[in-house]
Amino acid sequence: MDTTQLLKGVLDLAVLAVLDGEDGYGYDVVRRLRAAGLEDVGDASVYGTLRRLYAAGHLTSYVVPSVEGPHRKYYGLNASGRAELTTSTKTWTGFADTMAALLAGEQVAA
Amino acid sequence: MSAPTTSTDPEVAAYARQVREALADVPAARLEELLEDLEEHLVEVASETPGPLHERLGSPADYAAELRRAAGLPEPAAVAGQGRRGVRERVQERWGDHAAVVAVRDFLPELRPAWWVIRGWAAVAAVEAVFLGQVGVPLPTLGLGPVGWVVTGAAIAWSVRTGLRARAAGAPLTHASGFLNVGLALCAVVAVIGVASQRTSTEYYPAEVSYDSGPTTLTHEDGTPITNIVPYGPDGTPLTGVLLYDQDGRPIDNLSDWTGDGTVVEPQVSVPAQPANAYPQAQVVTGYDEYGNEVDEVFPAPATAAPTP
Repeated sequence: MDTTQLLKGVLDLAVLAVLDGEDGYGYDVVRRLRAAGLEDVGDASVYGTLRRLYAAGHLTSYVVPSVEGPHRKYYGLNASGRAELTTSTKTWTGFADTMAALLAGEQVAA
Repeated sequence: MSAPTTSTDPEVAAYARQVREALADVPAARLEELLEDLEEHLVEVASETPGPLHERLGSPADYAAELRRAAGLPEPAAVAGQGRRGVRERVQERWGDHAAVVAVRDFLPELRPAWWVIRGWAAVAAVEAVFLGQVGVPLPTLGLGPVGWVVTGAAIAWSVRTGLRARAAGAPLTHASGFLNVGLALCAVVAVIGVASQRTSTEYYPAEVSYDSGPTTLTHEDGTPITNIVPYGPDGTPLTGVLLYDQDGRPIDNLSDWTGDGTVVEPQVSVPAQPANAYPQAQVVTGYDEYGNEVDEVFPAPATAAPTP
C-alpha cells in the first residue's frame, strides 16, 4: 500500500501534532515529520498544509530574524489549532481502532 | 513581508516564479494567501540542503501539483498539450527569468485599466467603422451625434466597471472572457485601421487643404503681376480716371504692388486724391540704376508736368 495516499488524509493531524510540541518553521516541520518516521512526506505538501491551516485560523505565525541564514517564519498552534488537534486525534484514534479491529477480525476469520 | 534574502537568490526566485505560473489558474487572492511566503520557505530549503532546488524538490510543476493537493485547491481545468508545453517550457527556461522579460511582465498588469478604456471605445468604433466606413475621433458618434457620444461613454464605463470587478474578484480568465477580449482587440484593430485610412485619404486629396497666403493681388495666368491698368477708348484714345468695379459692384483695387522683377510699385499720393479703383493709377515705381541707387519713376508721366496747351 502506498503510504503517500494514507499520508494525505492524516497530514493535517501530523503537522498539528508536530507543532503542538514546539513551534517550527516550514522546513523544520518537514524534517521533524521525517524524523518521526513519515519519510515520504513531501516538502510542498507540508508547505501547502501549513498555509492552509494558517488560512483556516488554526496557526499563528511570526518571523524570527536570523544573523547568518534567512529570516524564518515560525508557526505555532493557537486555541483553534489545539481544539482541531484534539478533535482530529479522537477521530484518528477511533478510525485506527476500527481498522485495527477490522484487520484483527479478518485475520481471525482467515 | 518578504525577507531581503528572497530577491538576492535567482535560483529561488526562478523556482518560485515557475511554481506560481503552474498555479496561474488559481484565483489571485487565494494564490497570494497560499504562496505568500513560498520564497522564504524555499530559501530555508536551499540553505539547509545541498544541491540545486529542483533536485531536492522535483520540478516546479510537480511541486505546484503537490502544493495544489495539500492546500485543497481545485485541479487545473485542462492540461496543455504535452508537445506544445515542451516548447513553451524551453522558451520559459531560456527567457522567462531574463531581467527585461520580468520587468515587462511585472509592468503589463499596470496597463490593464488603459485596455478597459480602449476596448470600450473600440467596440463602438468598430461598429461605426463597419457600418459607416469611418470613425469619429476621439468619440465615435454612430451617426447619431451626441447620442452616439453617450453610447460610447457608457460602453467605456461599463468596460472599466467590468474590469474592476473582475480584478477585485481575482477570478481567473475564463475562455468566454478570453475570447471576448480577443474579439475586442480585433475591434480595436478595425477601428484603428478606420482612423488611419481617414488620415491617408485626407492626404491624398489636397483640394481640402487651403494655403492661406493673405489677400491675392491681380496676376496674369502666367503669374506675371498686374501692377496697373491702362484703359483706352474705342477710338484708341487713352482714358483717365476710369473707375473699375466687379460684377458685385466692389471696386477693383487689388493691384499687385510688386512687379515681376521685384520692383516696388506704390500708388502715388496725389492731390486731389483719386479713388483706389481709378485707372490708370498714378504710381511711384521704385527701381534701381546701374549704381544701385534708388530711382523713383512716376507713372504715368504726370499730367501736371506736361505743358497744357
